[in-house]
Amino acid sequence: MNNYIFNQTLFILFFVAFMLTSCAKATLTVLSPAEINTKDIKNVAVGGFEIGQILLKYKTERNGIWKTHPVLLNEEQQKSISRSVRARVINLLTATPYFKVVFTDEFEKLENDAALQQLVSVRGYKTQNVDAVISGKLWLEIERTDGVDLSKEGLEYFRPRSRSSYGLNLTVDQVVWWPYKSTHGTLGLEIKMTRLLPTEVVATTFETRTYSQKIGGRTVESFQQIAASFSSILASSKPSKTDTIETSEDVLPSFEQIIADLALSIASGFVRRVAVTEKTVSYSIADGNFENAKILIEAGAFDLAIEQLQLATADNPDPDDLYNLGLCFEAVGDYGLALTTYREAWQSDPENLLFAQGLGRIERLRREHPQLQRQLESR
Amino acid sequence: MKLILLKIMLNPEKRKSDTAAHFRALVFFCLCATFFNACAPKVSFQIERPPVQQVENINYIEIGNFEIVSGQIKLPSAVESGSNSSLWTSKNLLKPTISKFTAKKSVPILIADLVRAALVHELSLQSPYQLINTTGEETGFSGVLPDPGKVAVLHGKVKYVEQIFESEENLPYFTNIKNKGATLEQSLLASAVSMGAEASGAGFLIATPYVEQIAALEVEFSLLRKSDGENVIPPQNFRTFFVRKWGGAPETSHLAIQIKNAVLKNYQQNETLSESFLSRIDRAGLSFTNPTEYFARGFNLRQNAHVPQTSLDLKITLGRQVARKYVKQISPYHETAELLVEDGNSVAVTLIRGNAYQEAIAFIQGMNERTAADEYNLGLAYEAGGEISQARKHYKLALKQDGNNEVIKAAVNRTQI
Repeated sequence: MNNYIFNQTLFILFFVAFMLTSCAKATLTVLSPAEINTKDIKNVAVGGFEIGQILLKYKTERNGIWKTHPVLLNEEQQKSISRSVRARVINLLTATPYFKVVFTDEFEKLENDAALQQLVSVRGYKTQNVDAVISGKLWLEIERTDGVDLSKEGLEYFRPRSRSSYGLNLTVDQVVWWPYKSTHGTLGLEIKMTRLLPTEVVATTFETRTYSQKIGGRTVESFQQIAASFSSILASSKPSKTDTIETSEDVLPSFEQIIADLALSIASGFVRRVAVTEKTVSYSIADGNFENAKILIEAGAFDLAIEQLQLATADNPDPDDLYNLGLCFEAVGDYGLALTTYREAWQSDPENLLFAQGLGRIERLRREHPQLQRQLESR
Repeated sequence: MKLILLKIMLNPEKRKSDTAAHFRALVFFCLCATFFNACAPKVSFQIERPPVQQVENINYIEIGNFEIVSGQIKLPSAVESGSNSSLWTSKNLLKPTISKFTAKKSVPILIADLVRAALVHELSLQSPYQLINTTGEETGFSGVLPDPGKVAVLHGKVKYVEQIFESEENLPYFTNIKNKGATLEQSLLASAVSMGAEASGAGFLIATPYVEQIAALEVEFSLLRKSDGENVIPPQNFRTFFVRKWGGAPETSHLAIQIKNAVLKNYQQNETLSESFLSRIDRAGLSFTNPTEYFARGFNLRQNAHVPQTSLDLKITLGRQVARKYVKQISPYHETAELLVEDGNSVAVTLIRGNAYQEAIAFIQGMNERTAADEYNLGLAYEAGGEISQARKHYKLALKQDGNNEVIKAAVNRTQI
């Protein structure tokens, strides 16, 4: 049995190792353009988060009879939930270098979107130096269930053979009740960014996150157990604070904890859309003449690599080196230069798929981020 | 692979050497499988599709009124065409039975608001239109309003039916005693008897809890020009459905079986894929290759498919589905498609395979002579870039040169406007 567990771990490690190393591509951290064009927006103020729905409830189930007990929240409690969600968004925005959050409650005090529109239209705001206002609306529903699963299980009875008897090896079916507690939370958050001058809705996003957890209940099937062990092995390999009680597998998080986790996730999603972000990709690096370039690129030292490659390709424009140079430009977000350099590489070796892929990547970025088109055309 | 795994999981008491051999085989198999999957030269096309409807001379969109209306929601088309005779006679029906969706006006406004939010999200991120107003309030940003001839106002009429059953059904449990010393035939026979007995309703009847969610959403969108109130495109009507059960017997339902099958087949096909084994590994891997992305996409949040979703979840899912369908009607969109590249000029083929469509177009246009394959590839590059009429023109030219080519014929049919 020990051997079996050992083998299972070994197999998982093997598999993971292979997943990480398969394909001879380098993993690079490159800049990814903002999905939403926030050019010229530096100072943002955060308005209020309107409440679409907040619903918290407890459910119980015994012998198939379900009962629901909603948690009654007064207006102040609802507002406090909305403020805690808003605080998460502000937290993340202040952490990004692209925006400066102007702390004012002028916009937060407004009752709803209509009031904000009114204020912006007549330019009735007093706070100066604000380029845009972020406002939101939230919908929340969390339920906690206390119930019982039902299943038929085979219980094995075993008595070894002895001198006096033939021994016994029986499986007896039995209906088993498995008590469980579970929770399911859903948060929908609409975040809107309005530019003040000229007045326009820069972008609106509506994101949803869900959280569901169950403790107790019927044990999962063996195949799912493997999947779970995969995740836990991978998760435990990084240093984390997940060993606290709040995030333990065996404890259901509180309503506040769920709201906080959901809001944090949506807020980071929003920040990713409006800010230039770093993303990890695996692109192939060409085997150029200039071997140091490969090491520099793999280490993420793109600026130094650009410098060296520009010198190297000035005398001897080797297409592989040119491609690597393009890759560096792409990684630092200079897509115009990346395109020209990729094209140069491709023209020297038009049947090289790698070079065509470089061109293709820039084209795709241009198609999917129309604001980049303007940036490229201005070159 | 699943089979071998299951086998090993189920028989841990087997001899060690046997298990080890299984694992060795399994590891080898996994290595091969990953190798083939990961490094195969796959051509995936990221293409831009034009809007389904022609929207002319509109640069701005204003959100108008999203209201709840009452009325019948038409059943999925697969049900309507089929015979209705067996609709009510199935023994797997639970009471009360749903056989049609009648929307009432008293449904909370919440669903209309969620449809609006989902729609605004899609329009803001996917469409070329500038949004003027996103909440449908009357105020708007006065003083900066553009020419009303270029503004379209989007209205929606929402019909929604939602039924969540939290109840119990009596299920038979036939318990039995198996002797492990029995031969394989005997034990198989015993389990067959037990299953048969349960199916016929013998055994203990025990109240088994379940939750079943059934919902239908229909939205009629209309896009009116602000200056004259005329329809910019004809009103569009979209519906979507949902049915799922947690606990209880999987085959029983409150929804008539034909409708249930049609809904599962036409509206919920992609769902099961998201929770697959490999996607879980991918997610776990992301936690250390890209932690920001991992958090932003919510992969740190636990998801247990055995816990019924909330009613808010259900509404948002349906609202999004309808909104996505509508936005495709009025705005260009991107999608991944599997299209065949013909064996033409190798440089052009390389460019297309590298997804560099603009370069490919420029290159093929510059060629002196073009074969049918080159002409087809030119069409392909245009199609991938979203220029369907140009694509069709070149597909047709290709077909002139090679009239029997099935791939080209399919391409011409595909690009019919």
